[in-house]
Amino acid sequence: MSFIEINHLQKIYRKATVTVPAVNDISFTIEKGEFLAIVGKSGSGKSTLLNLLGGLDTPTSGEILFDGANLFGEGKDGLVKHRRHRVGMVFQSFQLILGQTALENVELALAFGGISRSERRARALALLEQVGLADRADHYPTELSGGEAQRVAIARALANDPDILLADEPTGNLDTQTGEMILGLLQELNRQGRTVIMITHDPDMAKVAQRTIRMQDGQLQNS
Amino acid sequence: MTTLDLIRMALRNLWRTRLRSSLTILGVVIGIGALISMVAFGSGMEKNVTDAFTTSGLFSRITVTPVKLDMNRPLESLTDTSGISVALDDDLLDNIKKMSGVSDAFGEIQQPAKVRLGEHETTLTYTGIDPEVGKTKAYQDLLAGTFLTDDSLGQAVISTSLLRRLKIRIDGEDMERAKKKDTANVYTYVKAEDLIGDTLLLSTASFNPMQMMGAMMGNQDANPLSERSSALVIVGVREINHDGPSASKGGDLLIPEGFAAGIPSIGFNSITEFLRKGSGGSDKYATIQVTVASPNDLTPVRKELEDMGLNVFALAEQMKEIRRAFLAVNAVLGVVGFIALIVAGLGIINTLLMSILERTREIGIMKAIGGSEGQIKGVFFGEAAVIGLVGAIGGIILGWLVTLAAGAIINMKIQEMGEAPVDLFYFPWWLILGSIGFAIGLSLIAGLYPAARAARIDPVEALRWS
Ligand SMILES: Nc1ncnc2c1ncn2[C@@H]1O[C@H](COP(=O)(O)OP(=O)(O)OP(=O)(O)O)[C@@H](O)[C@H]1O
Ligand SMILES: [Mg+2]
Repeated sequence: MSFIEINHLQKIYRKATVTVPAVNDISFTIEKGEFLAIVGKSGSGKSTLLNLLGGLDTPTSGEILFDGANLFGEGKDGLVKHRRHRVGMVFQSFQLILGQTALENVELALAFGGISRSERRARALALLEQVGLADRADHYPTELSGGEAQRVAIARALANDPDILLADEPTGNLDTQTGEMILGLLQELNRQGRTVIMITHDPDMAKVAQRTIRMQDGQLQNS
Repeated sequence: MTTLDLIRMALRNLWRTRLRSSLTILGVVIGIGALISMVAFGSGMEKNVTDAFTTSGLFSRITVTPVKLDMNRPLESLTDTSGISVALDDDLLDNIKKMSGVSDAFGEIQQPAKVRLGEHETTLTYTGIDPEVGKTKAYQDLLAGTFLTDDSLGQAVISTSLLRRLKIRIDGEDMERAKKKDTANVYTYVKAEDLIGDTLLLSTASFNPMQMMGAMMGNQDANPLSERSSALVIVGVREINHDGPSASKGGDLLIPEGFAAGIPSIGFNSITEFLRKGSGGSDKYATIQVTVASPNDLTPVRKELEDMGLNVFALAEQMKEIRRAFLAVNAVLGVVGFIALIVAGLGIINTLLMSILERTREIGIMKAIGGSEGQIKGVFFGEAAVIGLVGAIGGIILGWLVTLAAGAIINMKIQEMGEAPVDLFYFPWWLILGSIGFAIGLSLIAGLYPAARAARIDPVEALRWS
């Protein structure tokens, strides 16, 4: 039994007359501790797949098994638990809450995770420390550089100590140098035992991954 | 996520859009303020009236008057002797006193007259009353002096309202204002004690049927009405403001019953009595006041008196009607305030919906990092609750200030008219707590739809474009 098993996963968007199979009957497995890169042309369904893995979206058909249990088998509650404890997500555009400081952004994830108020601050600071941003704790997202913002987002993704990190073009909005730094951070987290699944457009970035899957028109391309 | 977290978040978010938030809160403040001042006004009126009744001891009182006027056949009902077997005289009074449940009863003679004190005079209906009655609760409102002491002497207990008609006011703390307003020096200001021992001149008219005949037959000198004056010594001054129930007819001037019997009088003071006289009834008293031993005796005694063919009136029973009337008044006032609150509720819905639109992405983020639908609802409920709570507290303060200002203005007018100031508004504890609860409840209801909408936001959609 693999860590993650994706079986005949399908996500079809229907708009009036057109049906878009964003993810079209995909099956593959991911092992624990893997660093997996997903590449493919724009519109090939990479984000859709990642959102399904993150429990943000539900499939039209098919299933994803985590440790043998179907992610979509327990309804909304199961998805909330999954997002809260099993995965951490990182996005191209950081997705930080603008009205809250770096620290508060991390604290919010801890609050959702049920961490007590007294523990939150210390843990959020430790997480920022881990991404090298302890000194930016009280900065608002608008006061941070792109690289810093993405590191805050990574700290937040790590808040509830998830086994899996899902990153949707985490370096897409960053210059090469900063992108490499973020990639280094993800590699470091992978080395600590976390499974990392990362979408990228950059073939160089994909090279650091142990495995790369290529998507086209919602399907996997053999490579 | 604890409730405290939600409230802290709510405060943060409301502060972020403080202009909009404060306008929304202002809507609630005005709504609650309107509701509170309206209901406080209704409650104040009710309290003034019921307090006045309760303290006056009129609740245990039944007033017996001669005859019921049947409006369908007014003349017959007055002249039909068969229906009026009972006259208000001493026999009846004795019988009533012996009834079970009656603790006391006394008769009152009432006649119209003219009184003069110093340079001023006025007309009134005086009451002849047994001096013993002064011991009962009904006449314990003396400002100075005593009640009538001797049944045969020309004594008088006068009221402040009569004095006012005689252009005299009782000097006291609250008179400074009135004095200033009284620029034309209409009134004389005296101490109540200084009036004791002064002489009041009572002029009564009497009716002579023989002279009446003469006049009708063309005798120019014949005058059916003759006037006579009696001197009365003031022994006591009562406080009557003519805004309470104690200002009953005839209460302005009380004289001993025995002395009153000796004053020639016109013999009747209304057309009713005149007609009854003509038809054979002979009432000594204008009214008989019956005091019951306990409130429970009121209904049976009343029933018994009615069965005797008497016309009875009990304030305690009117009170139910009065209470019901006030309930209606309060309901109407409450509805006006309620409408203001509904508007405020729509404001809350509007604000929350706008805030959700602006924060769609934020809601998507919250979902992506592990926020449940319940927690996201909680965030918006928190904001609604804070709006409600802050609005309620502000509304109570506003309502209080409004009633304070309105009360001051109205009392200024009341004092200009020479009346004592009154507490127009009353804030019972249930009004304060109720409006806080109501405002929060309303806000939460207003938050229901926006919160449900926020919770339903699709995180994938919310995060796609940003
Ligand atoms: N809500 C939707 N309704 C209709 N079609 C959609 C919707 N969401 C996505 N799609 C379609 O699904 C396909 C896959 O989209 P997806 O976002 O997964 O692509 P992607 O591989 O992440 O592209 P990119 O590299 O540009 O981010 C696209 O053709 C897109 O138009
Ligand atoms: Mg994408």
